[in-house]
Amino acid sequence: MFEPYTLMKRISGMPHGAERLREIKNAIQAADEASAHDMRLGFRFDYIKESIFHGDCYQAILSFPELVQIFDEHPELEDDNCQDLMQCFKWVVENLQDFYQISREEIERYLEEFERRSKKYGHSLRVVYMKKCKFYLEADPDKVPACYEAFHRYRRGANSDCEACEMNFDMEVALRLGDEEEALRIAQPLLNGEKHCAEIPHDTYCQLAHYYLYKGDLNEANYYAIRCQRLIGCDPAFLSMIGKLLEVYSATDPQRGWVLFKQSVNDWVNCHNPQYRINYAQGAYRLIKTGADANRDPETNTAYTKNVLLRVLPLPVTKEGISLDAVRDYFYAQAKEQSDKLDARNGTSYYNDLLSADLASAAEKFRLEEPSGTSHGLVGSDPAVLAVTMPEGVSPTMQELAERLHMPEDVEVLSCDADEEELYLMLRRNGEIREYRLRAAQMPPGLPARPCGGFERESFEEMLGIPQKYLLVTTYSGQPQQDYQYVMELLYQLFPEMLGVIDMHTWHAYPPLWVQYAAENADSISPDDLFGIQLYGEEVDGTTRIWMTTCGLVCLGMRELVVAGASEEVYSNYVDLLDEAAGQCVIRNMLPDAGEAFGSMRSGEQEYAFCWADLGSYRAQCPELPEDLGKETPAGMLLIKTDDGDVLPTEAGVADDEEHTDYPRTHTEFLRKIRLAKQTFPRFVEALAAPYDRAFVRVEFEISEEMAEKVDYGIELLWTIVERVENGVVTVRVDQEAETLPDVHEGDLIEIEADRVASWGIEPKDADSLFTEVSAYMLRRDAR
Amino acid sequence: MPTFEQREQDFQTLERGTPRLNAMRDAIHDADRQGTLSWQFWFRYDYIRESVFCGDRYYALIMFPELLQLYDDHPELQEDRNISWSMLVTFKWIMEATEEFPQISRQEIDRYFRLYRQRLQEQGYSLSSYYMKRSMIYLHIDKNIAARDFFRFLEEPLDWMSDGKALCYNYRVEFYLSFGEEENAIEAARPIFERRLKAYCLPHSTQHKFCRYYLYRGEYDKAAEYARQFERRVDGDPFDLHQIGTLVSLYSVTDPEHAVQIFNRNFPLCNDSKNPWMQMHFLIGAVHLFDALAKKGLSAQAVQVPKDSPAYPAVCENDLTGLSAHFYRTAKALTDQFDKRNGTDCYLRRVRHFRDQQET
Repeated sequence: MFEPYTLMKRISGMPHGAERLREIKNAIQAADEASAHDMRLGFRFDYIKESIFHGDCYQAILSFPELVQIFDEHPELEDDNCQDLMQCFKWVVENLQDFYQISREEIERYLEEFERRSKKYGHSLRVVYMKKCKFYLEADPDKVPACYEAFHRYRRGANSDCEACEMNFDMEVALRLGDEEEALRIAQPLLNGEKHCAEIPHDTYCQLAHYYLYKGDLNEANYYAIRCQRLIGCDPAFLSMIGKLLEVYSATDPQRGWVLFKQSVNDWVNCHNPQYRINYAQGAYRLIKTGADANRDPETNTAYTKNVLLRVLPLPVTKEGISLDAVRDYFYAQAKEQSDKLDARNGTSYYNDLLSADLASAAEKFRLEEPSGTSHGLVGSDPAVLAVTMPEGVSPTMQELAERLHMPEDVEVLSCDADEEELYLMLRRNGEIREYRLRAAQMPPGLPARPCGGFERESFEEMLGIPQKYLLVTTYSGQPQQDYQYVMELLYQLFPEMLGVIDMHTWHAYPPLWVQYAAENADSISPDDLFGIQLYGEEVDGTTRIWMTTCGLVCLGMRELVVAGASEEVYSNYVDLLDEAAGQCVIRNMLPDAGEAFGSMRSGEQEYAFCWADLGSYRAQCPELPEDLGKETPAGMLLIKTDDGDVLPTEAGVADDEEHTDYPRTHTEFLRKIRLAKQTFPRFVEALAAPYDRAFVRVEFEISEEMAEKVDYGIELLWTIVERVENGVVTVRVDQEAETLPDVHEGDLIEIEADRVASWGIEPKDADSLFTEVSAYMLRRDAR
Repeated sequence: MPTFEQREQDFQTLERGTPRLNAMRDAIHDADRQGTLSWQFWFRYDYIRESVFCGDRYYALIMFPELLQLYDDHPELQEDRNISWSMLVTFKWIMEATEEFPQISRQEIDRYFRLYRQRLQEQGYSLSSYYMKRSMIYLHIDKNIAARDFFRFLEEPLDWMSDGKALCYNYRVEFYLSFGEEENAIEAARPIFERRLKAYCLPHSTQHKFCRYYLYRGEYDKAAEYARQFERRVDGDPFDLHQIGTLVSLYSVTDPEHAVQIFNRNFPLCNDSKNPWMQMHFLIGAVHLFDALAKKGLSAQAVQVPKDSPAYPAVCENDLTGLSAHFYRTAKALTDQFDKRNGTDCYLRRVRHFRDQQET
């Protein structure tokens, strides 16, 4: 029996992509068998949309004629379905040009049919001319001016692309005409987020990255490539853009490109869209060429990779691995073959011109000029390095470490390769691939590490005194706090005997208990675990001037932030300021361009934002800043921005009044701490078994309907004091009252469970410290 | 003589509902007389908005074609982004309101939807509100189409033209309950009940949906749990008559005396209402109530109706059978209209729910 709802529900529950396409295909078959013509059209519409937006458009192109045929055969369905049909027409017509198998005449016939039907249904011809223009940009540039003029002559209609897409197209045309200034002017609303859609500004960034690459401005190319990648990740629907990013990274950041290539090469193998295949193959060719040359063995003149992800390619695998020269040649051949076919179809040399472009010369020419790009907050990220110290005499081999690896079920171990010197791990988790390299190394004494997480001085010194370390190298993805927690999970698994871990960028040194805690609790990593703050003081004209900088933001792909002009009296306020600004960047995973406001703070009645500026303009007034600051590791001077747009140095003293300076708590962090409190509640209950001076819990109380409507929130948090624990059940005494809870009084006794806990604290007897969910690991003395 | 700006500000000083609507109607006439195009638009927009949010939407339905015509006839209005946005917002409210008036044929509803979709796309908005409203309407017309549009609604991005997230989740609850997917409905309701998502009609609208769902499944305890939560909020509100009707239906089973009290308080509101859909739901409750009273052999003594009501004689004579028959006829007259327009028998089945149960 034909049950459309069941079919639709099943489809809706599936992730986008190949799996969903298959399910929709089944639904189409069922509808065909039931002769449910409305549903036959509906499911085909969904199929085409899925293929266009979450696939390579191949299935859309194949099934579109069927859709048109059914539509034409059933005029009674015209009214209800003509809008969907025209939308499909637009999508298909736009993507036809990707397929060289479709002749130029066929494409033009489709365009004419699209125009005819647009007129029939009273649609504006604006979108028709836009699609014609897109096709002729590659196939017949002489026809572009007339089409472009017509595109703008007609008003927006029901079937027009969204405003963001239209603006993006205008920018594309300006770039093709070489009018960079105009292109950037048009793109402003896209770049500042005012206009966006499912593919914009992704494509905007990609186009700009590509443009600057071919122009030879590698700084700008890299900047826009990073912005693009943050949006598209490794989504196979954006395979064409990924290919262009590979091309950019081949010149700007081959290591980054290599990671992206490995994550996406399997999607390319399964892709049917020639346009996507060309762009990817071209990018891969350039990237692998760079990689092969950089890794070439001078004696044998060969370069190999042992990475298992490349085994999807039809290339021989030897004991050395896969030859990078072979990979390079393979992708060149693929790109050339597709370029020849597309150019033959179009009657131009557009694709072959791109393939044969000499990017090296353009980049070389650019390098001769003053490098630009000092205005961007996002920079190429450095790999993170963490150093683990084991007790004297304990030095497991790489093979032994490999055998210790036991990842959770949701983690796929793609590679675990150990040799004498290195352990290489490639793990897939939630669809994302993360790589880790582990090596033994001898570190010099005097590392500038700072003990964190309650690291006892003696243990810390012992750790520093042992030169032998194991160095873990990895790069963070788009979720740094999550990535850091995964690193701790891995380190604890490989090195349970450890004396401690030093993060070689933030210079935080963590004790084993902290690492174990971080490994076990997904919400344990706070933003300030991802960066450190280093202070420097210098006598200038008889006064000690203090400057400070973050360290570690560069691992997140952001420039470090610097504060200068502090004195001994108020430097701690400046530290708080810098800590807050950097923390807010970590939470948003973003540092915008120079001068743009980010984050917020309050001083008295006034609200301010942060911003940053190039260091160069501050060197004169901050003589304590070293000359080379910002040269090797990009950095920017942290400043304060008023509501009126005035920019103040931190020396202006906005944050000096500690009592009235307030940094807003973000909702993300607030929720993270609540989750952590719930997760660690069992530790708290355990700790209550021993004598304590005070123990309290912040408990969630539900507010009544009427009250909730009045105050506009539904949960009140009240502090309570722990009264007793019996059989694991905690009874607390309410220690405060709230107007919203008229039936809850001070002194009331209630039993609570973890799901009502928002925060907790305990001060064990004879302990100097108060332990909360953040320091819960210190309650347990046995670390194993 | 106050300016039009002043007059618009003065609306805020008037009591909501009829007094404001009257003042707005006068302002419309004056703007029309003076030919001030933008104020002709804005006063009509204000009028529709008042009728939608503090009325029974009847006057909104009447005024809307005028507003649309004014907008379409004057390209200079279309150039104003504020006006074109407001025009679309009005369109959205009206789309939702079409369900409540059986005089609007299905063909007319479809035509309006096609136009709404066209306008959304012309102005570059997401189709989220189009699919959501269409799914909502089609829940009582063709559930396959409702389902198709619902799943498309889930895929569309929310934007400035979409309903707020809270209302979107509220609709999810309705959709899932209509397909018997209780777990999904509970999950969708969670952020509303936890007050993380808020809107003017929440959470009582969501609570009502669960109450009605459990009522018609015979799970009266669960229904009553939700009824307790929203009863005080809606009792006496003329624009929540449909929810009051559900309360009357429920209490006719669990607490007939209480049902009579609610009926007494709200029956005059039903008489005064110009919204047939709200009237229908209230009258369905009345049918259930008097059927229950008759079946249990209770008295109609406590029942109060206005003297000019056709039900008055039956009340005076304590004629529960007569009352039952009267309200059944009245309710059925409306359910027939709605069902005929929708091409289903969904509302008739609801009127007859307890009778049919008895018969089986």
